Amino acid sequence: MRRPTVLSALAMAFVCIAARTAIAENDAAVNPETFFYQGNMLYGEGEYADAAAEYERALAAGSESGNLYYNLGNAYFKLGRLGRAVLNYERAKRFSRNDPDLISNLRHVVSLLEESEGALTGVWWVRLMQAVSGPFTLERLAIVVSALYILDALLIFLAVAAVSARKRLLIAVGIVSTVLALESVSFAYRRYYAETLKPSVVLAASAECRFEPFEKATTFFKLYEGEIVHLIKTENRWGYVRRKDGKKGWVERDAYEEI
Amino acid sequence: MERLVKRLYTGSFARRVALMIIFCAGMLLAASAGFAKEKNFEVTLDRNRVALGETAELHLTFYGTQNIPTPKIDTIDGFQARYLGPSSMMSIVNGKMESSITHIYSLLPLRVGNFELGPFYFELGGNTYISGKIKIEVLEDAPQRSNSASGAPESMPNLDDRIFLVMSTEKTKVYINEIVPVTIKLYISRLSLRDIQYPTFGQEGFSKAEFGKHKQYTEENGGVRYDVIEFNTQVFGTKTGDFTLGPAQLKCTLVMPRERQRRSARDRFYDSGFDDPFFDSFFTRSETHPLVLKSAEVPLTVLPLPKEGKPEDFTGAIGDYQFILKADPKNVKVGDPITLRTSIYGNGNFNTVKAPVLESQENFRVYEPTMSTEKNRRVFEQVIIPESETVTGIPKIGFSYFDPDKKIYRRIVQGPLALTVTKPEGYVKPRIVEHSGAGAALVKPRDEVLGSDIVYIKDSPGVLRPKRKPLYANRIFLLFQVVPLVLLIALITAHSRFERLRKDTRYARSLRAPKEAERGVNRARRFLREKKAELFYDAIFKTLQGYLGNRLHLPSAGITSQIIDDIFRPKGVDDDIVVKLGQLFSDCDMARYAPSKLDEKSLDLTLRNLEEIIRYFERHKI
Repeated sequence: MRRPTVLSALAMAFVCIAARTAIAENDAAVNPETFFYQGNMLYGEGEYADAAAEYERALAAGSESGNLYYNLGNAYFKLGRLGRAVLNYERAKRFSRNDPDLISNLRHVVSLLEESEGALTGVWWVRLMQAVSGPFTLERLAIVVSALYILDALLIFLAVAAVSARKRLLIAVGIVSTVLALESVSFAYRRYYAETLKPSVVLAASAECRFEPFEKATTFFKLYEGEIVHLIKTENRWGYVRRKDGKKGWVERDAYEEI
Repeated sequence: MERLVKRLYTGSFARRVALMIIFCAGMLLAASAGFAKEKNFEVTLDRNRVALGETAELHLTFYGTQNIPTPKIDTIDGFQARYLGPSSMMSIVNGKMESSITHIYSLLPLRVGNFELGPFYFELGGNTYISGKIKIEVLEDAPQRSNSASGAPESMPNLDDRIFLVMSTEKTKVYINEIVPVTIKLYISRLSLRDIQYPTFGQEGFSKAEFGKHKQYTEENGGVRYDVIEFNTQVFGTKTGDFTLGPAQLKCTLVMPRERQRRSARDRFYDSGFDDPFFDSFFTRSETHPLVLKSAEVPLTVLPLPKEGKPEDFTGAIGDYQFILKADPKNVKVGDPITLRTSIYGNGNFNTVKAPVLESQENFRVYEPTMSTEKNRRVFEQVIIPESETVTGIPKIGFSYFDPDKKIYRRIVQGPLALTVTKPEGYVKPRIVEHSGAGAALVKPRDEVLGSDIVYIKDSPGVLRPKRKPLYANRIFLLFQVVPLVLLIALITAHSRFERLRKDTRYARSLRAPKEAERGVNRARRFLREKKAELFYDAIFKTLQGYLGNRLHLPSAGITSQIIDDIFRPKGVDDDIVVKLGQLFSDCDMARYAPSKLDEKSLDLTLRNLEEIIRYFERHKI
C-alpha cells in the first residue's frame, strides 16, 4: 500500500504544476491579445508609434510571446529606433530561436548598425553549445533535459532489473546519458549567459563608457546603438558593462536595457 | 666502319690482327684518296710578336696529304731559319678524313722591327703552292702583359696574343625589336684551358636570348692559327638610342706547366697527343690559374621604326615573314565552330608577332586565338563560328611587318577562303524578345539586385503567456527533479532485497522469524484470555519452535530442548535466557502430560518468558 501512495502523490504534484501554468495562461490571454491586434492594425496603417504603444500595453498587461516582441521590434525599426528593435528581436529569440523571419529582421537591423558587433557567438564552444541545444528555448530545453533525465533513470532501473536485456539497455543508457550530458551543459551555459552575463542592448545612439561611475570621469570607449554588452553590476544610475572585445566601463543605465 | 672497329675489340687475337691490318690498309687508301682530292697550303706563325733572343716557329702546313717532302725556303730577311722537322696529323670527323703535314722552321730574329714574311712558294709534281703573307714584330725586350686577361700569374709570358675574347655583331645600327646576332669568340693559341664558362655581357637597352650550342674550330688570325670557341646569341633593342653591348666577360681556368723547360718544336709535336691537362698532371707538374677574359665593347644604335608607310594593322612585328592560312572544316552548319590556323614563319623577332585579324567579322562569332611558338614559326589557332547561313567565305586576313633589311613595311594578305554554311535541322533564327507582361517573369534578369528590408509583422500573437519565473526556476519543478533519483534508488534497493529474499533462504527465514513469532504470541495470548491452556501451550511451543528454526535456519521440527546446550551456550547466550528457554520447553512438556499442575499465573509467566526470549534474540541478532 505504501508505494502506490508515493507515486500518486508525485503524479498529483506534476498535474498541479501543469494545471497552474495552464490557468495562469488562460487568465493572461484576455486583454493582451486585444492590444496585439490593435497594434497590428495600426502598424498596417503606418501608425508605427501607436502600434508600438499598443504592443507595449500588451506587455504591460503581464503577457509576452515571441510574436509580440517580434512585432514590437518591427514597429521600433520603422520608427528608426534600431536599438529598441534589436532589444525586442533578441527578446523574441527567447521564445522562437529559429524563426526565419526573426533571424532575417535581426540580421537586417544589425547590418544597418554602424558599430554593432552583434551577439557574442564567435567562440567555437559557444557555437557548439548553441548547436546542441537546437531550436529549443531555454525553458523548453529545461523540459527536454528533465525528460531525458527521467528516461535515463528508468533505463538504468530496467538495466538493473531485466538481466536478459541488460546489454541492449546499457547501450541505450549510454546514448541517453551522453545526450543528457550535452543538453545539460548547453542548458547550463545558456542559463549562465542569460542570467549571469546579463546581455543588454545599447539603446542610445551613442553612449560613453567611463572609467568610473561619475559624469566627470574619463571616457574609456563609446558604445553604439544596437550593440550588445554584458552587464556585470550596477551602482546607482550606472551600469558596469563589458564589450565584446573585453573592455569594461561604466555607462548610464538609461543608455541600455537588459534583454 | 663502325662494325669493323667493333670487331677489332671483340674478336679472337688472330682475327683481331687480321682486322687491324685491313683497317690500317683502309686508312692508308683513304689517306691517299684524300690527298688525290684536295691539297691546301698554309703558312702560320706560333706567335706574331717575338723578342730578340727568342725564337718563333714558322709552320708550313699542307692539307689533304702527308707525302710532302721538306720544303726548302729562301733566306728570310731579319731572321735565321732552321728546319726543326715535320709533324703529320690525320683525323676522321663525321666520317670525313682529314690529313695534313706541317713542316716546322725555327726563326731566330736578328734585329728589331716589323717584318712581313712570304708569300712562300712550293712546287711538287707540277703543282705550285703559294701561301699568303704573315706579319711578325720583333721587339727589343719581351712584351709586357696587358689587362685583357686578368688572373694570370706575373711570371707568365704575355698572353694577349695567345688567348683573347672578341665580341662582334653583324650590324651597328638596328631598329627597335630587330634581332641582332651576337658572336663571341674565344681565341686560344698553344694554351690549355678548362672550366670554360659561357660568356656574359652588359645589355642595357637590349633583351638577350639564351646562348646556343657553342662551336669549336681553328682559325687563322693575323698569321697565327688559333683554336676558336664560338658562342652565339641574339639581342634586340627594347628602346631607341645609342648603346653599347658588352664588354663580354668569360671565365675559365688556365693550365700551365710549372717550371717546365721550353721544349723543342719537334718534341712538342710528337707529344701533342699528350698535350692535355690530364697528362700534364701525371707527367709534368702543372698549375692552374683562373682567368677572366674581357672583350671590347660593341657600339650599337637602336633606331625607331619609320612612320612612313606604316600599315594601319601593323602591330609591331619586325623581321622577314610569310604566313599560311588554313581553315577546318570548310563545310559547316550555322553555329558550328571553324578552326582558323595561321602559321607565321620566317626570320625575325617572334616576340613581336601578334595574331593576324580578320578584316571583317560580320556574321561570325570570333574567339580569342591561342598561340604556340616553335623555332622560326609562330602558330595561332582561332575558333570562329558562322552565325548565318548567308556566309560564303572566311574574310581576308592581313599581316603587316617591318622588314629591317629592306627598311620597308610589308603586308601579306591571305584569303578569302571559300566556306559553305548551311542551316542546321530545326534551326530557329534567334530573335529579340520584347520585355512585357507575364513573359518577363520567365526571364531572370542578369545581375539582379535584390532588395533588403525587414519581414512584415506576425498576424497572431502566438502563445501569450504571463510574465513569470521560468519553469526551470520554479521550486516545485526543481523539487520534482529529485523524484526520479529517489525513485531509482528505492526501486533498485527494493529489487536487490527481493532478489536476496528469493535467492537467500537463510536470510528470508531470519526476516520472517519475528513476524511469525509475533503472530504466534498473539495467538497464545488469545488462548490465555480464553483460558484454553492446552491450546495455549501448543501455540507457545510451535511459536518457539518456528522462531528458533527460522533464526537458526534449521527444520522447525528438529528444535527441542536438547539443542539449547549444543547451540546457544557456545554462542554466548545469557544464562538467564538459556534457563528461561529450558523452562519454556519444560512447561510445554508438562502441559502435554500434566496440564492440571499449571495455573493461570504460570501461563502468563510462560508468555512473558517467550516474549522476552524473542526480544533478546532480535536485539542480539543471534
